[in-house]
Amino acid sequence: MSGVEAVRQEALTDDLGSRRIEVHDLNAWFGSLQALGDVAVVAEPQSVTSIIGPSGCGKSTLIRCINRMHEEVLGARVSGKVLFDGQDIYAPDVDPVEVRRRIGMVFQRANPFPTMSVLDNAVAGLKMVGRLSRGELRRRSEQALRQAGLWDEVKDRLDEPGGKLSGGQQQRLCIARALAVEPEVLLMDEPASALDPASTLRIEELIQDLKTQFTVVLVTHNMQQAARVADWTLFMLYGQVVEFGPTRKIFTSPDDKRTEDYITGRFG
Amino acid sequence: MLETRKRFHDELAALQAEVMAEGQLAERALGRSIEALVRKDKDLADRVIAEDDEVDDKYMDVERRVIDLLAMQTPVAGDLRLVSAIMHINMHLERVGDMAVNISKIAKATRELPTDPTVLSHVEEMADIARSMLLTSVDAFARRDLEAALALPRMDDPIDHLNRGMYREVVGLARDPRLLEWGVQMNMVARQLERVGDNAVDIGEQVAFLLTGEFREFTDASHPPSP
Amino acid sequence: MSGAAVATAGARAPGLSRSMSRSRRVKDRAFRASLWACGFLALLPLAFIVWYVLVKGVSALNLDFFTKEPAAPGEPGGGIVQSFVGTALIVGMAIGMAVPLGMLAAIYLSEYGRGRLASAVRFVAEILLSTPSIVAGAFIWAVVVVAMGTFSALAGAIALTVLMWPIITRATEEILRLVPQELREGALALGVPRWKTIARVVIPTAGSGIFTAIMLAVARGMGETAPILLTALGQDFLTTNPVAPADAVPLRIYNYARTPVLSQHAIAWGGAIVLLAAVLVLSITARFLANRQQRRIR
Repeated sequence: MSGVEAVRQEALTDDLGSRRIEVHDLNAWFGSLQALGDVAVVAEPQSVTSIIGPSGCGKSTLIRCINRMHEEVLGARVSGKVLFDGQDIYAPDVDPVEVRRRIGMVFQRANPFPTMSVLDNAVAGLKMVGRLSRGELRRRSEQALRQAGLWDEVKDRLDEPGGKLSGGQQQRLCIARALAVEPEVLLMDEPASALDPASTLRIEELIQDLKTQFTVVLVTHNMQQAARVADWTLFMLYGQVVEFGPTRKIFTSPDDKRTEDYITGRFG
Repeated sequence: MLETRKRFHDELAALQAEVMAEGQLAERALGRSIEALVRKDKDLADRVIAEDDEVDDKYMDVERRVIDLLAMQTPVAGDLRLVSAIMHINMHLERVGDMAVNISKIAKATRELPTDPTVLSHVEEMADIARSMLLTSVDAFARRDLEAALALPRMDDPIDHLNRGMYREVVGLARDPRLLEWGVQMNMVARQLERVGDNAVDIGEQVAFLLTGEFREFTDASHPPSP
Repeated sequence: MSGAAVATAGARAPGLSRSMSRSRRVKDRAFRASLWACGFLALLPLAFIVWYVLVKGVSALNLDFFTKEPAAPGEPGGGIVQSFVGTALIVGMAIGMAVPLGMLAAIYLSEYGRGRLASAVRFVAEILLSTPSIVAGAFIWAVVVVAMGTFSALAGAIALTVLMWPIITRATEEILRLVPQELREGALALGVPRWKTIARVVIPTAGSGIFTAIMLAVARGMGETAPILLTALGQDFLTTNPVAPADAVPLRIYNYARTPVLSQHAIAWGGAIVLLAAVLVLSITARFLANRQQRRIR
């Protein structure tokens, strides 16, 4: 908790501040099973905040509470506050659909829409929700694919089905799809865990590029990835926050022994 | 509970033991080199020079194994600080071994020269302090004793003091050219011993970093680093 | 013949192990042969039916058969055009009612329904699936025919709807469930509302699977006789009036099979060929599309 306070005191209040995510006293349940207990964390704009911890510690649950996807599961429940752009996204008058447009998500396994071409996949979010001309859609598609570092590889294959790309390409397509709706925050739930090492490193490079524009929250079970990529690291255990601080500190001299045990691999 | 990363931890422990052994070898070489100097013992001096190979072998072995550990085990946090400490302490100890060799060479070269008892006693005094500092620093590493590590800069003061006084004393030997020659060589021995002290302080800095996670230079005994 | 004996036999000399496995190979072949025989036997009835129907009815298939109304009993020529038109009319209207009903129910069950209402809907569908078709026919007679005061194609269509929509619902629900959850999540995470997710992602992905479900339902509806008998009554003249009695191919087959007129028997066999062909084509196409669909969804 003190890590959060320290961050808040250091935080700048500029217009980028609206892209900050602040989680306070967050609890989450699946039916009667509590998955998160009093979680507090801050994700700063133009930075990567990683969430690490053993399986079942609540990393995915936490990230899915930030874009209100958790409640889509039957019997799921949330209490607490998640502040975005100064507003609590769980306030009763807030539309979760709007929240999800502004807080995007990339999933562990690439999930391009099989009935759509590469081009259509990239702008699927725009096509399904808005009314844009074909020319505008094409322009936005190219922009998103360039942002995701995929344009050069697919510019001659735009009409092929999304599912025909390689695993790493499909995942970058999903990133492009998330970027096309121009969110302010990007949540990534183990985006590279299903990919080979080379593709993984490309995704990590991409994340470093993306952080200049977005607030990135990254869940990863690969500690070395968190060490390479993240500015801030949150360590969770059994649904609770153990330690939160600059990645450099967490990986050279963490405060909590449990953190030290986990990242050095002494964890049983 | 099955211990994870057993091989890694075993290797860390083995490297630590290797460094400790290296420390003992270096300290022993230092003591013997001074003894060879005082008693003008050529054979002892030769032995010290020959046995430095052992120290060098240990040094290169530890160095190689540390690199392997970094590449293949990607240590972090406490493990990383320990590996870094091992690597640096290894280097300092190897240097101490070289200093013992230098002193032994000087012992051989000054065997035929006359001596001055005052200067010689000061050299012995400096050597005692240097050896004590070396043992303290290596022991502080073994027992993870922060206070002992922090005490090292203070122990370095007398050596510095004696070293500075040495120059004036040697100048006072100018009356006899051969005595002066010996005196100049003793000055060099003093400088070697002063550097042994510095290396011991550096080892203390590594121990402090290992234990606190903060790296501070023990620049001045009057401004000890906060623990 | 213990495992140990076999192991040592193999270790010692290859010749010996070969003689041991020969008896196993014989058994293996015998078993496979008996399976082939069973499969063949299972195919026999269908093959027999197809062959017999073809033999009996092929003589009746001519242009008149498909374009003319029945001739007077005893007179040669004529056809059963009104049966084909009637079937098209009745089944067409039934599709128009069963498909929306069935699909909406399927979407509800797959995408929204978790509580008691969903269980109830599913239960009703299951019951209707195994309801004897004559019961459905009698029910619609009592409710629709009596209320309207007349037999009609519409009543027939309603009776078929009762039988068809559960098929569509059950098959469609299964297909929708096969669409991976991660596709829905991917769309939701983009800020797409749930109903649009269903309409623009889930259903298109299910795609030809839904078409398959409809085809299966149509195959069933086309072949029903009992409910048509009680609701549409039958008709000798060509009509396209939905609120008047209408004929249907299976009904015509039923009636003509019971008459003493031999030419009408032949026509009945001809109708049987057409019906059989239609059902076979629909079923095989449905199966083919379903296989292709499975491969596409991964």
